[in-house]
Amino acid sequence: MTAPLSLLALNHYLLVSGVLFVIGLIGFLTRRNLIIMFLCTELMFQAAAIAMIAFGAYHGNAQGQVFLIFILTIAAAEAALALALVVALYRRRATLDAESWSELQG
Amino acid sequence: MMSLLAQFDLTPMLSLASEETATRAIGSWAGWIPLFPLIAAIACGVLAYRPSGAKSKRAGLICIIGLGLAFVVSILLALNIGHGQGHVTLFEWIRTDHLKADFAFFLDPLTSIMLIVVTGIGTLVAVYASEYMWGDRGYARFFAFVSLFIVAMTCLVLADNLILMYLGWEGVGLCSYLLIGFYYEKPAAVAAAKKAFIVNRIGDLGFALGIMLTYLQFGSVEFAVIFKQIEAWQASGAEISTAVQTIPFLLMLGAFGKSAQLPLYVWLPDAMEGPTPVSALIHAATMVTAGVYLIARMLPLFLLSPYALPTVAWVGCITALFSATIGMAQYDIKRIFAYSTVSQLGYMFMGLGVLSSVGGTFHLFTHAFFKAALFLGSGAVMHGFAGQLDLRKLSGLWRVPGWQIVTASMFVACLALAGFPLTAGFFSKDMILAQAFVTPGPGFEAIGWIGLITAGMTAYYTFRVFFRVFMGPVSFKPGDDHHGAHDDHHFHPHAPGPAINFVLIVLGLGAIFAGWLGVGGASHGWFGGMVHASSANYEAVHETTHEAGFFSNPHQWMMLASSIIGILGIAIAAYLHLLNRPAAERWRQAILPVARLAEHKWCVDEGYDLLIRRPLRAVGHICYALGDTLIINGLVALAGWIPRLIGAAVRPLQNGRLQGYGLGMAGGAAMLLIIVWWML
Amino acid sequence: MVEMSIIYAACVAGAIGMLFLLPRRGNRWGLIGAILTAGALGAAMLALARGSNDSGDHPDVFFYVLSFVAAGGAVRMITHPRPVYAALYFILVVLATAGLFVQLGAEFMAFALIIVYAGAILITYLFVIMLAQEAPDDQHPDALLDYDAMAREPVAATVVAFVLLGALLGVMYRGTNHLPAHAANHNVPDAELAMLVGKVESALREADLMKDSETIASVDPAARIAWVRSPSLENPRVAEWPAGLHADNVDVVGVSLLAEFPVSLEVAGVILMLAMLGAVVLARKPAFGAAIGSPHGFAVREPHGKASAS
Repeated sequence: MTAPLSLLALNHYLLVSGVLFVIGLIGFLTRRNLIIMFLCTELMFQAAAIAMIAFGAYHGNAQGQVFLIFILTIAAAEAALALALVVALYRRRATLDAESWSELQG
Repeated sequence: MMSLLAQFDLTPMLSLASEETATRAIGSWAGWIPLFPLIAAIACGVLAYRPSGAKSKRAGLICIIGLGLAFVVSILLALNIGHGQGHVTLFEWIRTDHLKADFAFFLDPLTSIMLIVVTGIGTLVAVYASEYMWGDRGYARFFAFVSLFIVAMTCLVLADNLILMYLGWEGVGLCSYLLIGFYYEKPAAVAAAKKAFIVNRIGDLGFALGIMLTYLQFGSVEFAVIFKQIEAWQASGAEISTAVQTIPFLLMLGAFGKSAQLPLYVWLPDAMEGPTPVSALIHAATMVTAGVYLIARMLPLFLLSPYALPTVAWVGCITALFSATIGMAQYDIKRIFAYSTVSQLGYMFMGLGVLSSVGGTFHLFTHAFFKAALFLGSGAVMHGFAGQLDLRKLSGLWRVPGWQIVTASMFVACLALAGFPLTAGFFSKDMILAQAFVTPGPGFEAIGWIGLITAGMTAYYTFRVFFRVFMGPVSFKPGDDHHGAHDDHHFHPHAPGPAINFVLIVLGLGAIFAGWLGVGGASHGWFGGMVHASSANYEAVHETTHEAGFFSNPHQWMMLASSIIGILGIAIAAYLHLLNRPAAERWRQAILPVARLAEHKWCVDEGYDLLIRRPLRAVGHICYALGDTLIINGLVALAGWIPRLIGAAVRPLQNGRLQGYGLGMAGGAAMLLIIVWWML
Repeated sequence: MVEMSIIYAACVAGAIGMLFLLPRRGNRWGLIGAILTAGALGAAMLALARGSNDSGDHPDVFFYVLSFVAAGGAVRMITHPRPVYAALYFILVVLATAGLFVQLGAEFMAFALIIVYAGAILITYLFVIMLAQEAPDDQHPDALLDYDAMAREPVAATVVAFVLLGALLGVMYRGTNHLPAHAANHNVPDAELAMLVGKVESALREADLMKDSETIASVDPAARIAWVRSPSLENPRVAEWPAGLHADNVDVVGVSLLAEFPVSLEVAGVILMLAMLGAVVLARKPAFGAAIGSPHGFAVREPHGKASAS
């Protein structure tokens, strides 16, 4: 196990984590392709994972990594279900445009 | 007066330990009195709901048995009570930290007298109605209502607190409404029922306010507590507050409404739209006397205000005169007796007002007999002559076969109402009129004179009916209920059956002999002794004048004066309506404008319409336009519009696009973070 | 202390750069956007590094390289109009992230990430893209679907996202300032080995510090010794650990996972199984026609409903 992380380095990792998260958010909000939107959520998971591991390293214990395992679990489950949904939706409309699914409006 | 209140021994009722013994001692089975009629009411109600039972003869039988049993229990109770008092708690009803109103009965001689009147007349009327109403579609319904009325009335009479009394009060009002509107397919009956209910509402509002004020001032609605408090005030000579002095005026309003006094009497003549047994029972003998009973019961409270009883006396006096003038000019027999009832109720209030509570309650007692007899007799006429009630179209029934018993009982009852010597009405009326001359009070002597004149008018209009309808040459026309191809010559009146005759005989005997119960004066007769032992007792103070000479003792010369006046009235009626009938018409022509006005009941209904109903209607329309349509509807519509507006404003946000929601979520998260940042 | 004004300025610059980068038809500002975004990230990192003079505190050069690769890959992923390329760029991000994990001493997680994400999830994505995406036809190999070529409401999304980033970083740096520096220093190193007796035993046997007939009684990580019970001796004897014996990353994660979060581990397993079942149910073709719904169920129903309402 390497030496514990310094506060300065932690801040750097948090910066990267935040940047990746926001990029994923922008992608989620601007892209209209359902698959890319889900990819962007995966990107946000990555950002959260970096923050987890960085904090774990800073505190010198393995809990951050253990939580990453759970994040991976949820990400895998989410990817499976989301992709299944995308396939089902694509079957109905033959398009991946998120805007074609806007019946739920007031 | 304090001595009287002092003899009013309340301690057994107030201490719980002795309450047991008191309850055991006197009338612990008083609960059966309302219970028997209640069972009868439920049974008849069940019958009325079944198509096969609606006209079943069993309904009448059940009602007679139920009321008869209640009557027997009432007699036993009266014998048991004697001059004592009792208290029975059936069950706890309303108990809060401050308010205690149990379903409990307050038993004293006044109660037992009222119970005998109510259940006795009730039983007789039930017997009468079992024949009279036979064949009616609502036969069982009628008896259900009558039994229910007796339940409510006995509750009213027996109540040991104002709230239970109010329950009975409203109960009899409800039954009255239901029975006036018994022929609910007749518009006039429905209108009369509504009128009775609404006019009573005005009085009941006063009564309700009076109960509330009583509770605020005394901290209780139980008679025992209230009387004890009054006694304590009297003993300490404490200043009686204005609020307490207001209570009798509020209760008075309720009494005037229920007992049809000016200005709230207008509903009673219209109430004759109901079946005649109902008119006899509710609108002559019992319910309308509830107001008299209320004042008699709460007399200690009325004595607290120097103005309360004189007001009662004057209202009663004016009502008696006023309605007697109307009664003189009417042609409908039942209406004449309705106005006569109003007039006699005025006498009762007069009696209470001039501090002759014995006279007032005694008149209530005797009046119940002869007025019931009069109503039931005219009901028999109506029944036999297909609804004919116009005294111009009936004559000489005395000679029609089968009508002799009716005529005889009517004759006796008319004598009693006219105050003919030694009949029931003679004794009770004299007691009231004489007391008016004895008791010092604002214009009480004038009240006495007016009462005397009214007695003469009463004798006139009573025998006007009798001589017109029962005497003279035989001639009659059937009423509107006689349908068919036959003309009048083929009409055969059917004479009353045994049940009706029996009831009329009993009531006729009562009209003669009920008065003897009061012989001996206010303090010595049986009746006076009973009333003196109740909460309405206070007269001993005024009995001193008895020992004076003949002309200075009103109780003695009043008998002579009223006899003369009564016989004079009868004589005038005999001349105008028996011996020289055309003369009556000539006299009428001579005073045509006045007669017209009296026939139109002095246009009181029209006056009320103009002065009260129309302005109220206008106010109502304005309130409706402003308050309801504009403000309330506006508010309701606004309440509906606000969410719609908000919805319309934010609806675009719900555009169904996933990313729109995501944007909102991210923006919200950012705002939350910024808020947290500023707060930390 | 972190100079927040520079960070916020960098956020603004990054937002502007992002706006230039987002896809739209005929985008000629991409290069400027890329330079702006990269410059913003660099400026932010410089602002962070400015706080400390101690070179030991700074992350090494690999961090900078990997983080720029990750950020660049992420930007390219969300800006590339073609989904396949986006997925491939995401693999790049995953690889860079794995590198960062190695930097942080989480080797096991780095490899797990590559295996699970780059290996499994992303391949599934690629399969779905190939299944669902309308491929450009032969005449127009470069033709783009409209919804891929155009970004939706780029300004609002970018502004909100970078406001969120500014707030996030502001709150985080404020919070990290309150953390104790080097919080983990008083932990006993290699404490997990107390639970991993087998690892200690095999290390001792390899170093010939234990005979075949002997067994380990207990392990004391604080003193770096093991109590060894031998058949010839009455009491256990002390055996010093070999110098190279350490709990590596897998040991640490494994012990933590099984000792501290066993229930969560089971729940995660259940979630995975349910997700598998759900995916099967959702992606299955409607086997019995209209029972689940016609392929055009919604499209057909809507005009019908409107017609009946009017």
